[in-house]
Amino acid sequence: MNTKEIVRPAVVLLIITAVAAMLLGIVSEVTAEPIRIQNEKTLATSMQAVMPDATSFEELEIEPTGTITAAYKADNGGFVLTVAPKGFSGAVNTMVGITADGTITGVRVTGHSETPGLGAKATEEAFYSQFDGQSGSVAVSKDGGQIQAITSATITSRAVCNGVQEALDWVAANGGAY
Amino acid sequence: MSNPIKVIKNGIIDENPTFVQVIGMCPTLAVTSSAINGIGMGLSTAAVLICANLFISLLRKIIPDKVRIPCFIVVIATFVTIVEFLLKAYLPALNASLGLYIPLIVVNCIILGRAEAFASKNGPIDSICDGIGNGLGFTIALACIGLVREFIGSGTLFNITVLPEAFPRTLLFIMAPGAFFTLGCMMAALNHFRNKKKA
Amino acid sequence: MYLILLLLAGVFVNNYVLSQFLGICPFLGVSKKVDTAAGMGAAVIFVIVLACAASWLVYNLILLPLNMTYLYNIAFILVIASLVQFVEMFLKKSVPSLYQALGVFLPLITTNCAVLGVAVVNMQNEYDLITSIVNGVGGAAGFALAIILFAGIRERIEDNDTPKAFDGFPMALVTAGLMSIAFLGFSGLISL
Repeated sequence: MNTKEIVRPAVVLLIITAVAAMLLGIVSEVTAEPIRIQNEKTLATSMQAVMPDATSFEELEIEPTGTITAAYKADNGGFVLTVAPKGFSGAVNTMVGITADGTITGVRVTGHSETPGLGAKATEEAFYSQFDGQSGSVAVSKDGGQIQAITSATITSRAVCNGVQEALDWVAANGGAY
Repeated sequence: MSNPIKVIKNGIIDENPTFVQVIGMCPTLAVTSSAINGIGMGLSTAAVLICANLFISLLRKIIPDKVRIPCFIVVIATFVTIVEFLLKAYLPALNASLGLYIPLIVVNCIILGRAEAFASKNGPIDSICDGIGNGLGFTIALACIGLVREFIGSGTLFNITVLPEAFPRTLLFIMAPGAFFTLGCMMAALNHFRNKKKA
Repeated sequence: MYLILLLLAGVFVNNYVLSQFLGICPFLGVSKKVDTAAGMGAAVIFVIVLACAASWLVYNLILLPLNMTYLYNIAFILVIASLVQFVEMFLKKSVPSLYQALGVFLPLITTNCAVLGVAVVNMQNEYDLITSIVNGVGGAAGFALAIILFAGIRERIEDNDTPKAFDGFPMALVTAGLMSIAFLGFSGLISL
């Protein structure tokens, strides 16, 4: 086997890979800004949904406790927290809006891997709206609380309640400090 | 094979990637829980397939035979990544629902298969047509499966409720087993018609 | 404890073939006989474990420091392709008996989306090296389990009197659907 037979394929492959890498570098540069804007927009839309009165939000530096993943302070004094309680088949990412005095202004499930058609119903308005205006403690009716669990998806409903409860407790304990 | 329309039709009907060649099964089964997802996946794959076919056809004389598979893979992976970025930037909702399966277009046997079987042997125009034909054939197949599963599983078509609320939904059809059943039954139905035609 | 749960979840609850649809092509293609299915399963376990480790190293030691994560897809697929080639050459030279058993399946593994899928999942979840490998072992063992069981069923169906239209792929798909329902019974058993 002569060297030409080895070198040529290697050089061609190298050139193709280099061109591909360059092209991707350019595309990634160009789309970086739109992607960032999209992510911000998605975040802003869900924050607006859980706290309709506020117009701007500022991320707070917090120690992650329990399943709380992030906290934001709204310009009307309220808080928006993201929690990731354990559901039936993984984390149920939930966003909760709470006023400074501990009343829930809205709940949204932003990401989950629950069973389609059962646990996935946690993303429906009928389930969310039960949380609006609650304060102190929330739990599904089976556990003696006020939230009507989704039919055949008690575990998912309980997960959302646990997450919301964590958020309420956090605001009660730390709300004054921010 | 020089007639572009024939090449396109060939990809959609006679050699439909899903129903006749039975390749690219993973995305076919995974993302067809609704018609919209099926179409989104189909079009993303078609876009990658057309671009990859074009470039591989253009490069077919330069690429040495020994390293052709790695070269094909690099070309395909490049376009897949571009599609991924574009979806993230402009259609984030679709990107979220297709998730993992977008990067996995790289290993979709349809694309590597067409590159090896068609684009590496034919001119750029024919290769684009082949890409369009196979891409559309794949999209149509995915859309059909998606429509059936969405209708039976959640009683909607393109997210519009068509079955009355009281009518029970067969949830199984938007979960994993439903994908296997739907595709199996559709293929059986096609077989049946083909057998009848022959007889 | 977490690692054991992750392993079990990979095999039963989140079975890559039956609930995530990764690796369907070899699952349908090489499942006519139990022994070839077992060969494929073994080859996949072997390659996935190596691929998980290699892709983790490439991603965390090369792509992340260089800020070139956008190349992950190209990098992973090339790593997997060259790994498969390398394993094939190595086995041919040093363990010919194993090469004879796995030989024909090795080239097919490059386009097995379960391999790339596990590598991408590891990256997206930011698993560390050990967790990545455990996830790979779980996923691959799940694949092996599914394909061997499936081949066993298909061997039996072979001689049955099925409706003519269902011959071949349709029957296989319906069988896979029934298996998938069985595996649905594991869902919710382990949540991580």
